[in-house]
Amino acid sequence: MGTGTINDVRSTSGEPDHFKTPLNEDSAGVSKIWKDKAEELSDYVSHWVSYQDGMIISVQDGFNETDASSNQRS
Amino acid sequence: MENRIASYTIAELAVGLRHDQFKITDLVEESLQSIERGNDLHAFISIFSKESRQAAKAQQSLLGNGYDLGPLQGIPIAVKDNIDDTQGATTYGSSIFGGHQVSQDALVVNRLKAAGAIIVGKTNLHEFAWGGTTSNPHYGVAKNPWDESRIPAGSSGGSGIAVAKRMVCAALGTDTGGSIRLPAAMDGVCGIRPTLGDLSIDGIFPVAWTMDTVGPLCSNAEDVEMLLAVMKGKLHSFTPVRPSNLTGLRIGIIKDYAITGLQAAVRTAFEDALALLQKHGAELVVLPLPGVEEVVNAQLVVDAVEPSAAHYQLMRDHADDYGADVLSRLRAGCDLTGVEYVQAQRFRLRFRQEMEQLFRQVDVVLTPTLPFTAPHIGATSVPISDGSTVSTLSGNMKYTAIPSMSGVPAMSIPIGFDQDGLPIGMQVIAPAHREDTALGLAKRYQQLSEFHKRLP
Repeated sequence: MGTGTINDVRSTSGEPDHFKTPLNEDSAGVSKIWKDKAEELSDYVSHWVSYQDGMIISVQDGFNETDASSNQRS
Repeated sequence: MENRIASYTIAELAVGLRHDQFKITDLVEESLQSIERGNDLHAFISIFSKESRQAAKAQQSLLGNGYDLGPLQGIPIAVKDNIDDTQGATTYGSSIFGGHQVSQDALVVNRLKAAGAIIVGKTNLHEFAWGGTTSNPHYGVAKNPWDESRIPAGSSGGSGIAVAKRMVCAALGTDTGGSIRLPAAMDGVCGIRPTLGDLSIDGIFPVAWTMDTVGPLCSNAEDVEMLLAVMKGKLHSFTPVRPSNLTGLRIGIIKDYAITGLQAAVRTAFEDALALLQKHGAELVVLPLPGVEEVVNAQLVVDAVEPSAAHYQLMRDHADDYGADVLSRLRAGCDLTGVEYVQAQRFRLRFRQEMEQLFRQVDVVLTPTLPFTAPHIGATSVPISDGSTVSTLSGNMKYTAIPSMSGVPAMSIPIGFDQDGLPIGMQVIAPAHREDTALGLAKRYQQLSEFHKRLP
């Protein structure tokens, strides 16, 4: 974060691909677009979960990282 | 006939009525004639001519005998046709509900009527409010008042047209993913999506119930504030916010997102608006918003699954009665899994926390309302200045999804026009329950510009 000027605002990083996808009006096309978007989102969200040896070891939800082992019954 | 609706704010009209400069019957007549002249724009599904004239006489009589119901008394207002009103049919923009009579007004309509407002008609919308063009297959393809070959946006397109053409002083819209702010921007008027949950959506057909809101579209920020106050139940008095003192106001600009992928005119208008606010003392703060690149994806999932759930039985019983585009989206929503829906809602919780964090650093966040000006009717993609195209459906949610998914209030205000004379809007995003902050900035911007006064 920093105090900026108009020139600072002008920096760009390109356009996300999902904004470039035209909407097909046939049902199958629309379904595929939606599924693609859901998959992109799921990939993103799955990065909040850490695995080790096939087990979830931590879940980062919001700003709080939870140690999954602390929720296990002893 | 003098066009008072185009010349005065609601507060000014209220003063004129109370000083016998004109009568409620004059205002309502002006509204009805304007609606009739603009018939080809397909802004309305129902027009209550007879009822409105009767109501105007009754309200004039009440006011003349000392029964002052407050500033909305006798003011002509339109209501989007997915909002229940016992006065006539409520169609939800669907032929399935043609002639549908409801037994009870939506709470917000009830409050407007209690304040003496005169509902002159129900406005056209995208079928079931599930889409952004208002190209309604049952009640007419709505046309942008600035260029009739283009869409007025949606889903509250009829409300945007009615206000832009000054057919009414205000119109109610609903906003799930941008359905108030997008027509406000494309039609050159003001519109606010309030904080999620602050205004009752009782009596409104759901789109996505965890995102649905109701709010007003008006020609100026003062009228938006008044409508919002009445809709919240403050029927007789409220304290207007002052135009923001820009000195020291911290305006957040989302890094690498706020001005990427825009049509050139939109970018220029937005940068000019920022420069104007900065010149008058505001501080621009460029800061990242983690997750913003995924917010449209998340919105599209929630905004697909929930309508499909709401329509689950109806679309099976009446599939042939839906428009092709809405039916396609409803079917697409059925194809998404429970896991994907939960992921989207998890994302949403996290994104809301990111927004709360952001508002610890700035007073408001500004974005363009959408990346482009009004597309041509029937267009499914829009050219962007770098030679690429964007989808009209997901592209127009690029900025409106931020408040829709985080639940904070946002207002669209006019900030300029492109080379074809099409309006451009800026989205003012405020912290939760701080509509006053957005309204204060909008009022101040209106003092510094004249864009909100231009007529199509």
